[in-house]
Amino acid sequence: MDNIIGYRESSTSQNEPENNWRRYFSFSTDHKVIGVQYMVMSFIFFLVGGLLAMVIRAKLITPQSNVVDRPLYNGLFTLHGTIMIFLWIIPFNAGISNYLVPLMIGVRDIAFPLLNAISFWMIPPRGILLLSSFLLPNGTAQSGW
Amino acid sequence: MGAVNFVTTIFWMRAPGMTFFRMPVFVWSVLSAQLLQLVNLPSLTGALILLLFDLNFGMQFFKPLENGDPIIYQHLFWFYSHPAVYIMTLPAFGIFAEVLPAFSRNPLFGYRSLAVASLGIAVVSIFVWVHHMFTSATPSWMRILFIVTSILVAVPTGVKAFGWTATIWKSKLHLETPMLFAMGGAAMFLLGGVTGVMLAAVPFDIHVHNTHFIVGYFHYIVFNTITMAIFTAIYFWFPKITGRMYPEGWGKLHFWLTFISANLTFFPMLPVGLQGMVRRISSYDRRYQGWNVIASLGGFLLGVSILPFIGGNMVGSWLYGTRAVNNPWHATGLEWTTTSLPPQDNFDEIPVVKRPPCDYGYPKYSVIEPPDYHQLEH
Repeated sequence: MDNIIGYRESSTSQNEPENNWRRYFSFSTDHKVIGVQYMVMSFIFFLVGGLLAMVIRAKLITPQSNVVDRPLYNGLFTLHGTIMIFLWIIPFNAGISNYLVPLMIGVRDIAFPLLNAISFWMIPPRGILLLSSFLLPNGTAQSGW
Repeated sequence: MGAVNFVTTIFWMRAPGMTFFRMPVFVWSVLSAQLLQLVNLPSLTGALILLLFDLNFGMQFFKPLENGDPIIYQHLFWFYSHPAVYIMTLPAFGIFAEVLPAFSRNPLFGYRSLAVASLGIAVVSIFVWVHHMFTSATPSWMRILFIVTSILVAVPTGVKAFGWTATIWKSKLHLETPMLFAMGGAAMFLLGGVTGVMLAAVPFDIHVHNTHFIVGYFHYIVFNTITMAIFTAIYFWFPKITGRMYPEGWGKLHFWLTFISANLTFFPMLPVGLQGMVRRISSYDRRYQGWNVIASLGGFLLGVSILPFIGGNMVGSWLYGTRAVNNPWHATGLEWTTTSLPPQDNFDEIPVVKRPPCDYGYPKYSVIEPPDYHQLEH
């Protein structure tokens, strides 16, 4: 049966959407699951990056303040930039593109599903490595952004 | 790897009838961004490997005291990192181009030119990287060349901005949350874009180099444009992705808090940078304090503004959200033809595409009625 848009509407008979939250924590090759994984993970890093930004602004509210010491301040804005770019915007774009592009051009999945899953699962270790640099004796990278 | 995946999918796997000029603008912009990624990322990878050797294995690619050249590192770095800005921005442009026509019930103005402008931005942005290095002893012939190319990027970008404006021109706007975010983001992109063109000119750039003006400018791009576009996308495709509607009131509260506090945070950085406050410093002259206090308070408000999003929209719709219908916005596009929460294989049968994208309100095709917006509110 054609719907108002003129396309044939999906019937929900055999092709049921699998609504099980556990699949979002599994190694799935479904582009929709990977898309959601990307988006949720990058949103968590967005919150972390936002917290760092608020510490930076707390430091800058007065000309001389000692909210954090200077090496830590340098590390804060370096990681703020790196997290916001490489762990928020780029993964989020990857996630929304993953979710929408196959749906928008009418294909069943992306060309190389396994490769897609592998490129997602490289990101959480990367984020943990970045954030764990706060624990190192020399502190984080301080090169600035 | 992701880039290869997207490019292959878009080039070879489209549904029957989905010609290149029937693809949504979002797909065009993803294609351009991923092609750009494919061309430019290797130079950053190479630079980082060389840097690793320099720092850990005693090599001297970039060490000035040992006949290395740090400028080469800058070149390699910016050859990726400038296009990276466009890799991030292009999907945001695509999102605006999807949402604006859906809520103004107008066809997307100049679909073909918007689609080609995505590719245009991608191509031109490969040739602009030296504009980050105007103060790194760049010879003057190079400066002139890169002023020209940098200003040239404004042409396809301007095509996009005019396209969005003409799309919503003289139409009755339906200010649902995604539309608010899209219009807010597109409007603030104007300020980010205009300050960007100012920075493309060498005399101005040398004056404000390394000041808070730069910080203000790129936050207008990365927060006020790209993050607003990301929230647009979240709200617009929320019914499709989660199968639930979000509460509209919390969404509007989230938008106004974000919009006001983002401007409070990032606008003061522009004047304070013009007055000469250097970036990346932890203490500063007392006369800059006024603007900084505004920016800091705005920043804290921005932190608060995420709370309605998490509390009201995510948790609220999870617990109390109504089930979403397949096409709540009555939008065109294949993703709205499948069920909300798409099935495992996306479509029961692969659709055949017979119409151009975003054809809202054409008399010839006017098969899609606008939704009953009062009903959506509840």
